[in-house]
Amino acid sequence: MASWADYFDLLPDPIFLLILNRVSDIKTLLRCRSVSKRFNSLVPQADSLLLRVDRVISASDDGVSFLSALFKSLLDLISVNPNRLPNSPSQILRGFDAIRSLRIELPSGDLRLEKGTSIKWFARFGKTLESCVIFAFRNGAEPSGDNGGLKTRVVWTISALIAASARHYMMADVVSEQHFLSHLVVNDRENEGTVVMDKDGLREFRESGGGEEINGCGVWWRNNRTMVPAVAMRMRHEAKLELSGGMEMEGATLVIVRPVGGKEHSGDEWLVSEAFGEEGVYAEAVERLLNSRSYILEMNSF
Amino acid sequence: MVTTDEKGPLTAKKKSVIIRSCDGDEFLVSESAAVLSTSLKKILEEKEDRLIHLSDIDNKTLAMVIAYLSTHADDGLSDDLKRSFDQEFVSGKEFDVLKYLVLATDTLQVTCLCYTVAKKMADIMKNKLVEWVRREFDIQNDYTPEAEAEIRRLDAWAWDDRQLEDD
Repeated sequence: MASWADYFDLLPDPIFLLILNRVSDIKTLLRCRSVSKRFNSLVPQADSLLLRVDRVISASDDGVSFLSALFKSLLDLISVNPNRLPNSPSQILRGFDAIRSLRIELPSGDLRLEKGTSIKWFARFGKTLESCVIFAFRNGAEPSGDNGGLKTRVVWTISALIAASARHYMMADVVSEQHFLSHLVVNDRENEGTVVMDKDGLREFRESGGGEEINGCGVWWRNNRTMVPAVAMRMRHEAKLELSGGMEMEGATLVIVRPVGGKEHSGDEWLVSEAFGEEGVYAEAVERLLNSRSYILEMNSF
Repeated sequence: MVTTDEKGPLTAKKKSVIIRSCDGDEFLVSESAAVLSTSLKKILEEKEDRLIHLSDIDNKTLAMVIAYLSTHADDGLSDDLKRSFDQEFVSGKEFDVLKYLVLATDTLQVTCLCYTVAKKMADIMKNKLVEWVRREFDIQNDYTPEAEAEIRRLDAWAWDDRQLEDD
């Protein structure tokens, strides 16, 4: 019988790694490195990780931590910071050399729209945007000044695309340094936006030479986000949606964005169900919107 | 490979195996349940003997694995019922029980249960103190105090004032 005394020696490495991969939380794993030398040697082999960004902390006294930098780059898209930050996500992940699946969870969404407005977006990226599904609406209970005209809907769309490309940009170093990475998700605890890069997208990004080339376009925001290519936006909206649970949405808008001439040929239904699932209030709302009349707007690269 | 459930006493005898734990207790298990373990399946394919002796799995752990195998071999249960059985199976169990269960599922190659148990162990480990991890895995701290301090210093940001648990 396995006795209490030799348990840890009996535990084979693969099973131990199986457990560590399910712990997945990077903070827990990093703390575990100080448990023992064997722990320390196995933690870097974990291949399925979650980096949960809790709050802004100062990691050391030698400058800005990446967490506060993250906030800066996402909340203040206009700020330009040419210096490489001392404590970046890629630096944290450098302690791991076998990452295949990575999820980075930010504490909150990036967009601060007017009160009573909710927005959710889901974007796929390769070296650049492949598709983005955006759903936004106003809470029926909130009185609003304007009626949510086309201008508002375009602002929502552009805001979501900027937030998505900022998160994509943030990952450039991680993608080029983590050679085994085959699935990357960046989302937030408020469930506002999700960036996904799959195996093909990650390869395309690496082959394109990473962030340097993409951002070498000489525009003022180049330090904060990747370029959004010229896109076609299929837009649908309803002035008022009454959902089965009694919830009311005003100005409900569904926008499906694809690059002009891009390789994304998945149907609207598929993209929408990937973004919002099959169940729940959002799934119901977007399904209703899919039946609405749609029109297409085109937008230049920005 | 047995595909149908035994009916009469004669076939029942033929289609069962006896599994003996390291404590010496014997368990009568239907062959359809036993073959869900890849290791047991291999043993049964190779030898005539219907008695299998497992020298590194104790009574308590073996009884749990057999309960799992028997449930999953029951064709009368839907996949949904089996899934909820799996969740309940690990939900109330102590870490000290799970850690031997994970070893047994590895030895017996019951992959699905192995993953479920590993997941549950991982959930329990989150937010635990390093001292807790050492105690539960029975690990001797083989660092010098200086080396341990250095390791902690490298990832200082992971040691914020978040509440860590010791039980």
